Amino acid sequence: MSRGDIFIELDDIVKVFPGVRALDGVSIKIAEGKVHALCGENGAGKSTLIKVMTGVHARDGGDYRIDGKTVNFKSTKEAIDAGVSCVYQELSIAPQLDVAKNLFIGNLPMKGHIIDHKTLYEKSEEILKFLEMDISPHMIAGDLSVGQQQMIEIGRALTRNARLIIMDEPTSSLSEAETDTLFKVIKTLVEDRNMAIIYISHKLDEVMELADWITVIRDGKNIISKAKTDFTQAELVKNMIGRPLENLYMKEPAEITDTMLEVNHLTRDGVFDDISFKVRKGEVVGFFGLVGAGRSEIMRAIFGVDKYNSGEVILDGKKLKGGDPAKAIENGIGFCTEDRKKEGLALKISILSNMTLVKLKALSHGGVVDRVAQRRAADKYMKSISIKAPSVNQLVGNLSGGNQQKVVVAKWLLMDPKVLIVDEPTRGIDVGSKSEIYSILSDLAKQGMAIIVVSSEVEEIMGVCDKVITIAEGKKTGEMAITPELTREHILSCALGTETDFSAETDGEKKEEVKENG
Amino acid sequence: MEEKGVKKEAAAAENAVDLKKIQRVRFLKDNNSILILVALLFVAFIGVDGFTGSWYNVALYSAEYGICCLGLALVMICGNIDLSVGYNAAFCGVMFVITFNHIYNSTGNSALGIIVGLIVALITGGVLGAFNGVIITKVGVSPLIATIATNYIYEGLVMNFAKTSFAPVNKDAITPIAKYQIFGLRWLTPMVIIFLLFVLGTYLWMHYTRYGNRLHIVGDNPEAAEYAGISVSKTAFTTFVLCGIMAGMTGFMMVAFSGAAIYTQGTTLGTFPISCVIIGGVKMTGGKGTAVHVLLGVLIMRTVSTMMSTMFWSTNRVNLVTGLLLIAVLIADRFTSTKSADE
Ligand SMILES: Nc1ncnc2c1ncn2[C@@H]1O[C@H](COP(=O)(O)OP(=O)(O)OP(=O)(O)O)[C@@H](O)[C@H]1O
Ligand SMILES: [Mg+2]
Repeated sequence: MSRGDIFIELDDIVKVFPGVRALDGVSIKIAEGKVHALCGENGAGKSTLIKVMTGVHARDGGDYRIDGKTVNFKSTKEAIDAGVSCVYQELSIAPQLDVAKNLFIGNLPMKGHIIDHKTLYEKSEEILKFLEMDISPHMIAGDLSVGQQQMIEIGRALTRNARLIIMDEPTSSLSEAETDTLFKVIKTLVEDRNMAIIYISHKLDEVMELADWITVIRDGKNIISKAKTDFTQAELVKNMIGRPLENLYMKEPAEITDTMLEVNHLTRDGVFDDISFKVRKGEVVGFFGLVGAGRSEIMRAIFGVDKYNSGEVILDGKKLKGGDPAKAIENGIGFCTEDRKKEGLALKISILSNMTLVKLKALSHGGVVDRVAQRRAADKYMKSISIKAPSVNQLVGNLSGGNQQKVVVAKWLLMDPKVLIVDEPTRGIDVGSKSEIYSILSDLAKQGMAIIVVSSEVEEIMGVCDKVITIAEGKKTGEMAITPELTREHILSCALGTETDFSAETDGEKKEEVKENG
Repeated sequence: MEEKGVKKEAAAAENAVDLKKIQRVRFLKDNNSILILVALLFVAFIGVDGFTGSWYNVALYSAEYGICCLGLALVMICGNIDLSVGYNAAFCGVMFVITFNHIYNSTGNSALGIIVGLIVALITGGVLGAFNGVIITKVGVSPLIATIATNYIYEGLVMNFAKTSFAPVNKDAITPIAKYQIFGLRWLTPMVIIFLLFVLGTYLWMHYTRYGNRLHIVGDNPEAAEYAGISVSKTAFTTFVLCGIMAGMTGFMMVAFSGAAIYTQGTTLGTFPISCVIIGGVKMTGGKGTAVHVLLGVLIMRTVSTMMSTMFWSTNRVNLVTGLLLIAVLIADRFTSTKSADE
């Protein structure tokens, strides 16, 4: 077969979950040697569609053909054998196994009945080289960064003679450099190996760069499907959310008053070093740096989940004792973590319970939970950041990836803290809801909350913050006010550590001019 | 662009150093049972009078109970637990004795009695293991609760079938074979060799076969296994059956050791396998450990008990020390894991 030939067809696919018609007649055609992007809001049905394609879910209606023949995969194994491989939205690394065994999971090279370890490690080396990863196949997967683990999952698809590789939000935890590598890899696969790729992402500039063909789905139905060249990004957004989006970032000026949070010389040996800053009421401070620079670790220390060696955290004039998150919450610090599955959510309980978890004390009278108030509080955020679920009683584990993330965000918004720390608040969230979250943050600041936003997206930082602090390798390399003059490049070079700029440091401890070292 | 490249290289280099260090710490942590064993043996040989004369017991007693520890390890590597190993083994011992006596009484052929008896013991163990497996992987009962319950059931079976708390074989044909000293070495008996063969076999199975390799994946991340086309419930079921068969083998070994099926051995065995497996370095949470770890764990536990019986300590004190050792190992594990990679 040759490039552009259609070999996989899905017609009118229907998938029903209790209370949800997740797919309601979706059709899609996949051609060899092309990148096919799948776009849609959180809960539109993207992940469900690909799970139907890979045999995780059985379809409830419609036809699924490969090379003209109808297929009914009963397991992922059958789909893999038929050439359909997938990198799922949720990481599925076995953290205690080594890299090679993770790459060849379920598919170890054999010599007769015996595992061929020599080939296993040799082939793994090859794949790692292809992925431009400078690690040994003997490394234990759990020791790798999240980005590297994601790359391993992508490598996994390469070990399987796939004809189609599906990637569900592969870049949500990759650094910029890793994303570049991934794009290079995708281009090689498509151009040299004539593979087909289905690419799902909420980062629309990525979609616009990579895709040959774009399909938009909403509420489990096809909205539009055409060549990338016929799309503009604005048009894409409009089709996704059903209305034009004028302004993604809606930052309204807030009154910035007294210092709320003061961090002095915070140090954790080998992780971050001598971090000082202040956040005032009504102020939104962004923390920017490369993945692994230590931003999240600083926040974890402030919140008390990690210990620190020296320094102090002062909240509203009161010095906090470190290492006690319960106390931190009580004192009014809210922390919306980056890793939602591990740290932010209980997957087997309802949206309602998850959302009101940290707020429970305020919602109860003498130890008895006020169910009505609880329900009202949850309902409010279900609507305002449009969490897509049949009811607040739905189990969080049944939500789409983006909607799970929204529940975490809602939980902390609900708590109404004095200082709110949000770590990558919009990872995996569609554009429409992103703008909702930004406007909520802006409102909260206007009401006098002090807010810290940790992000790996410069645009996000520039769009929602009053000032940005850059962190490079655990050290503070800059503190700048967000002004129209501030450039993206300047923030980036501070985050790389090649420049420093402390022009916005308050109290003038060490006001320095912009200086160049690189 | 250029900046990014340079940065990437620097980060990669730093990463590499870091990972090397992490790997070294990890290796030590994963294999700390070697250190424990060496230290214990050192203390025993230097500090305990008479240990030079009694250490061969470490080998003999290890062989007696060791095989079911391997079986339990398989279950635990898959992320489950089996608390019914003790009475499963005891019951298989009873079944061996009944079969042997029956055949010996009717034919007078003790070799035939041993062979058929062994087969019956293994099948019995496998069936009881499969029973655990069905309740846990098909019905979905938690392995902890399920096997506490089946342990009671198997205890009941022992009582019902044995009808006595001490059921001897009618002709003591196996103990002389089992305890035969190869090359005149007191520690090298057929039982020890059988145990070592089981260790080797289990190790090779897990290292070299596709099926054996699944255990780690399933225990480590069941979801990932399922997505990779590996059936979690089938794999877990297999481990319960294998654990049962190995418990059956242990039942046979216990009879071979003492010439009788003894009711209380179900209780004596009790939590011993779990202690061995954990001390050896198999994780409670699954995904980690090899047959060699089990071997080390069994040797450690047996060194401790041999040391203490050489010093004529009471069972109570032995239990106390064993418990403390177990806790020390678990604390050391916590300590090193928070120190290493901040997982
Ligand atoms: N196992 C399940 N049980 C019940 N409902 C489910 C289940 N899986 C998905 N859903 C529902 O199906 C709908 C589609 O979800 P899906 O995960 O396909 O969305 P998505 O487009 O991938 O969204 P995201 O961008 O957030 O990842 C959602 O409303 C979700 O709540
Ligand atoms: Mg999804």
